[in-house]
Amino acid sequence: MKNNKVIAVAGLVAVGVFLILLPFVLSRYYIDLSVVFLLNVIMAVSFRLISTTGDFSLAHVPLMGMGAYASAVMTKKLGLPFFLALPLSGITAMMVGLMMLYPLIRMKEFAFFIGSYAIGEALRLSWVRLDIFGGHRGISSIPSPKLIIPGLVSIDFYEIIPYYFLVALITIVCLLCMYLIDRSRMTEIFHAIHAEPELVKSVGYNITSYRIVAFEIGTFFAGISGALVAHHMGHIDPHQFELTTGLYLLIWVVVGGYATFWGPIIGVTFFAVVGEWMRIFGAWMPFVYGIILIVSLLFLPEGIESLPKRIAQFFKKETTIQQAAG
Amino acid sequence: MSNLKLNKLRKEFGGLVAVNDIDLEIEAGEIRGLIGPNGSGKTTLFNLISGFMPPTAGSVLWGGKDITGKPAHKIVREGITRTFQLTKLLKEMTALQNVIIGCYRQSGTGIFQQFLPSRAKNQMDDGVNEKALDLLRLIGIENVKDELAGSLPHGYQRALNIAVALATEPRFLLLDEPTTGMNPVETERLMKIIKKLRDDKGITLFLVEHDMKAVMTNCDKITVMSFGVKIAEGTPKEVGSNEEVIEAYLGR
Amino acid sequence: MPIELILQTIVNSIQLSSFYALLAIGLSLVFGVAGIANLAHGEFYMLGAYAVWWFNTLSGMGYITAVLLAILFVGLLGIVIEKLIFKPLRGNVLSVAIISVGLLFIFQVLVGQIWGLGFPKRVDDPIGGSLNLFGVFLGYQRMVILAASILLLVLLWLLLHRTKIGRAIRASAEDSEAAALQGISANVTAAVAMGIGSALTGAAGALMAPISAVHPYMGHTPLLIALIVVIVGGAGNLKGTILTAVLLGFLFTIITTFTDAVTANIASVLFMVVLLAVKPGGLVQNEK
Repeated sequence: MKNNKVIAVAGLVAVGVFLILLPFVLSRYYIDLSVVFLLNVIMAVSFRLISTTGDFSLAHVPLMGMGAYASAVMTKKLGLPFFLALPLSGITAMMVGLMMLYPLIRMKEFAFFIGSYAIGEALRLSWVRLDIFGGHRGISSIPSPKLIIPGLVSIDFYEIIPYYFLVALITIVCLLCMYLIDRSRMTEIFHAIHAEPELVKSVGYNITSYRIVAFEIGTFFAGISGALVAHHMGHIDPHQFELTTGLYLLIWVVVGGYATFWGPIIGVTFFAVVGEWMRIFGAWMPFVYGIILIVSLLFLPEGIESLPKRIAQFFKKETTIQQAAG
Repeated sequence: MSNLKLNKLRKEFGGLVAVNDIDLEIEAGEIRGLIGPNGSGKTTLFNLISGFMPPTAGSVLWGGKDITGKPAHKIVREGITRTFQLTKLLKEMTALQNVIIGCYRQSGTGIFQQFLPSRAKNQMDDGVNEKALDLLRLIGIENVKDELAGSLPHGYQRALNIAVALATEPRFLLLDEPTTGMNPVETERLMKIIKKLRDDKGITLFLVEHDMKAVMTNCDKITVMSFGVKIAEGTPKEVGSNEEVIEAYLGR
Repeated sequence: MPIELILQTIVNSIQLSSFYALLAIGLSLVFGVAGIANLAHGEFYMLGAYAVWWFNTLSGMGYITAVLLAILFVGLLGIVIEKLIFKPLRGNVLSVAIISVGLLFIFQVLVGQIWGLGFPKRVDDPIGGSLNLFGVFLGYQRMVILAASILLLVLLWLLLHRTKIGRAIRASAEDSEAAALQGISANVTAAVAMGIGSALTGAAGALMAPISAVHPYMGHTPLLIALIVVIVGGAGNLKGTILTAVLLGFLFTIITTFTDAVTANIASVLFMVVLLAVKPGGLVQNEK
């Protein structure tokens, strides 16, 4: 037991050191990529959190967009400081999410999947329609985050390296929260709801309430990620949050595996690497995604994270056969 | 005085009447059997009482309180718990863990308590682990506590279902064919446990059963259903010699 | 309100309805019979259009021949895909839906990269022009679509009600578990349903090719329409599907006539949400 804790802490320290050194050894392009990578990790892990109850939500990316738009409007048009707008963006996403749940929570499984697409798309189309969100062109010149404590600090996170550190810190905090939630009793109930909803009902749990909580928690982190996207690019428009983006997110999580907390992170990492290798084949990316998804679902349905387990089982079988053969 | 009363309880599915204006009354501390040929609406009746299905008409009264149409999780909080005809368990979790999940709710109401980390730490803190273990002991299956529920033999799974149901501290238990797949020894043992639940804990029990011997020897009273209608009710002796009942079973 | 406008709206609605029916019936069939939620449905439509373009414009075959070949091609493709990709996941609707997303990407990119993303492809009208009857514009191609749709739907009805395999398919659509118990092979019904469903969808694409912009992403809206029709009409329910297609055809024509395409888009997604929330069956394979 104690050994596990030591390994875990050592691992965390290693990751921490790695993250801190990263921007000093990588080129600007790759630091930028790392920021995107970290934000995708938050999205993937929060998507998976919602999916533990069995709800696969294609509204996750639109709700991320809601966080992005919220932060953009709050900082640019209302003049709020970033560090206030950030949590408020998460909360805005949650509130819009709650409104979506009113019709959405009545749907289950496949219907929920399609319904979440439809309602997410309705949200996205509303950004096109409403003037405050800038229509098709979206919002530009989003101010960079600034941390100003009079007399003490004055940091402008405009440059990529400071922004990277900001994002890395926030990502660590978000992942830590989601990790703790993943280890909670509540998540056990989430899993049970997915596996045997009737049983869970029969011991007195209100399944709908739990699904709502899972959805809202995931949505909060999507909102946070969205806000960070907005200030990273300085510009957002409705096309960034289209269905295709949501489908990519789904593929990261499905291919990486969603049985454990780590699967989605593995998925995002895998596709980040593949994406870079295949960068020259730009237009072929969706095709590659499609092939990987199909191969993955047919041959490794529990995702890349199940690979060690599968290999171990394979070798166990081999040794058993060898022993039997004498 | 907690008793269950059904008034003209009715369930229609499109044109089909599955439960046809059933009147029923079960006294506190009774062990009531529910028998009838397949498709007579017994499970549907259970679904109506336990909130898994809303009735088309009629009412369900529990201790004088109208609980008609309340959703399943609320009915559990009223003190009525049911098990299922087909075993429902979290197959990838241990027997103990299955019962523990049933115990979480009792040990701290509200969804925010659930943020507590599971496994070792909190199970010690609020006695959930102990309580679950006691329930397994009560049913007599504590020796498989660390086995995966999915890998248990059928009879053990049925027994585990009852342990999980007991985690909700019910006053009234609806058991849907608890002895399916059990051999006579296991059936006898389960019936003894059921009697103990009534004698020691004062739980009222309503059982759907196909094992006639078990029903006749262990139930105080028996209700007979056929095609959604109650065709007989009384002591085992009365029901056993009832013409209509015999015909309902033979005339299929 | 001028009488010509009313008549035109009615004519347009009928034509649109026939297209919707042909488009949706394939998805309704495979979803109802085999629980296959093929989200690449729109791509089968697109491939039907491209196939006609290939056989007719590129290879010089007659239009009718091209349409028949297109239907055959897409139908066979459907069967192959069912056997290789959907069959292993059969039983889990969401998994099939997710894997079909992979197909969606593959087809879109493949078609786009092989034949270019520039201008949409052109397929010439076999009978160009239109008929002007009492001030109402009746496009010949649209009338062809109407006639062909009706013909295909009648053929489908005959297949489902007069043949042995058709009865097996209907049994599966009604209650897949009971059908399996009766010895009706799920493998066979799924493959046949997928073959027929894909063929009909390809037919829709082939017939629409002369009057639509043939490009890799043309399947997006057809998928939405098909989904709405299946939700409302009920999967596997032939009558319900056609009825819904008619309703929807009229609704969309009227909305587009009096507002615009974007509003129609928003209306369609909101419509979907309301339906899914309110209809207890929702997107369920066997509606009880």
